[in-house]
Amino acid sequence: MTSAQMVETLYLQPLPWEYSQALDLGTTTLHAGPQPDLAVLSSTLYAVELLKRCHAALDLAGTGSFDAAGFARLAQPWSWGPLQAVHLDQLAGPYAALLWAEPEAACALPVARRLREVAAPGATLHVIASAPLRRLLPIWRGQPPPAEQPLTPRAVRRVLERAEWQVESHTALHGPHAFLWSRLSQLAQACRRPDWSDRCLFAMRSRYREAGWLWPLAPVSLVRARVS
Amino acid sequence: MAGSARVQDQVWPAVQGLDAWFDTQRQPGGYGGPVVHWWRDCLDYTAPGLDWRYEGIICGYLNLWSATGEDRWLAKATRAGDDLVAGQLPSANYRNSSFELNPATAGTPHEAANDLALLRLAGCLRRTGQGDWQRYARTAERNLHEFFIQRLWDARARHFRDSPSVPSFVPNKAATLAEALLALSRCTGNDEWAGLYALPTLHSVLAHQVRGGALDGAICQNSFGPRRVDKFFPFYVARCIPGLLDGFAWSQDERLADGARHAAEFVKRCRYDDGSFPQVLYLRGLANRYPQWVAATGDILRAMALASTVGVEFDPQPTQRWLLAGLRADGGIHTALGFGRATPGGSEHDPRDQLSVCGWADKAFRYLTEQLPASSQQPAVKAQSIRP
Repeated sequence: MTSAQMVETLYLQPLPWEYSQALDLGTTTLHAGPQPDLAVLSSTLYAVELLKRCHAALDLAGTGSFDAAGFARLAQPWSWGPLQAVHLDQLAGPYAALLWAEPEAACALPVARRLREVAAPGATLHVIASAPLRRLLPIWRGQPPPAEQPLTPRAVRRVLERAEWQVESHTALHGPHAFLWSRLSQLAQACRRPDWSDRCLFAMRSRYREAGWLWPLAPVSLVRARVS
Repeated sequence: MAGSARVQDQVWPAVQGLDAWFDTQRQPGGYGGPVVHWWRDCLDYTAPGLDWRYEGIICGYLNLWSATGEDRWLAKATRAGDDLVAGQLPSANYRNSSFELNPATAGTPHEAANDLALLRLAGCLRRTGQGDWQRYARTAERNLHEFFIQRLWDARARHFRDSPSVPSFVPNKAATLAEALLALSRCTGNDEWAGLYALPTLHSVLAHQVRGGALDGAICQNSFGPRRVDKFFPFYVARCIPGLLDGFAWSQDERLADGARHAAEFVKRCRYDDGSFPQVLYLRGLANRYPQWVAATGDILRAMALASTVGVEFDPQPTQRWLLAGLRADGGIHTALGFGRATPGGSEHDPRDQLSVCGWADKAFRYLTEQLPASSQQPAVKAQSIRP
């Protein structure tokens, strides 16, 4: 498969709900002003998803093996808003909104510090991070993986604080409550009560995102930080 | 009669309100706004979605243009068509066409609904000699050919899958797609779209219909290979009716008319006294009443009006009143009643109920614009090539 075909294939296939919800939430602060925002990505998977969400100018930087410049070239026909590949060492800034998906262990602290340097006063940073339960998600068994050596949400928090970001909140995606409701839905189905099963699924969806202490028990989390 | 007159009095103000409300949902690139649905909600991504909202918006504005002769309505239909043309991707799909699953592409039945709307628009433009009608028809043809036929057609099963990788079938989506293919055959004069793809697909819809018993006429929501999913949504059963009737009009195959008749009788039996419908019925008399659609009953009313052509008697007034009672002061329309009651231990009040959503409001808009008296008839034209 050529890289161009990979962009098309990834564009057409839906992302697991954990990640699509994290990206939906993480991109809500983008494009609030006329200046480009910044996305720092570890995988083509995330970059393709941003093509669907970003209708205004976006600067794109890569970490690990993700080649932002190559992607920006290949993705041009699919792009909605102007997409510009940038190198982390040559960022212009200041950026009012930043997205980081997802931090690689090898370079997390320098990247966090670099993002702090180019963030505008009051800027918001959203970080998508996955916990060990990620191994249950099929996306981690496919190609390309979302990251090579991902940092856990707890480690992300420590890195952000060391880089002088103020962590404001954690949101768990598909945490224990959602998991419990989906198991109840399966149980109701097994008991030949599809009506109860559907009601449990409805409840599962309403508890899919949870703030609070449960975030370490979810496969994917979104961390929100701000320039203090 | 008095009740009918009261409903009629409310139609024009409702249509004007919806038109004004749709204008508030315009963004660069199309109609946006949040989505709430039985399957999922899409409340973070509120940028334009090129999904089935365009079916009701384009057809509704064409109805308005036909009823009044005022070009401003045609201009709005054309503007919506331009959104779809500009949003077509290299894969021939439409950008963010998945409604409640947005932002995502390759949405079904959304892309087929868009194609149907584009072909209706192309037909109107061609009849009146206005604009470049071929570009709308070409956009629809490209999507139908490169996406639906090349990627979703299952030659062995002789119907369209719902996913390229899974042997799945969803009757209501297939019925909308069949309507679009029949429209393409009429537009191009090429019978193959109808004969090779639309009619076999409609017969697969019939194969999913229950015959006999309390659920007579109901159509299964979907199937995976030979496994049927025994869920019966009156709204989705109603969405099958226009396609079945269009197939009957094309082929004069009585089986399609009979299927539509039974489906309409099922929908009629489901209705509550207040004009509303349950969300879903299951085998053994099980049901989930909530959320009950409000704006979307426009599609049910429209289907039932079409079914009267094959002998189904249905009094629309209770449902018209249910629909019109959902109108909001800002011109929008409530999506549903009872989102909060759909969960165990749920609540009476849920903000999703009152939300007006483009992809539901369009269904009310399309139906209501069909209730306006037509002032002129458009002349029919012969099929011709859509190539420049």
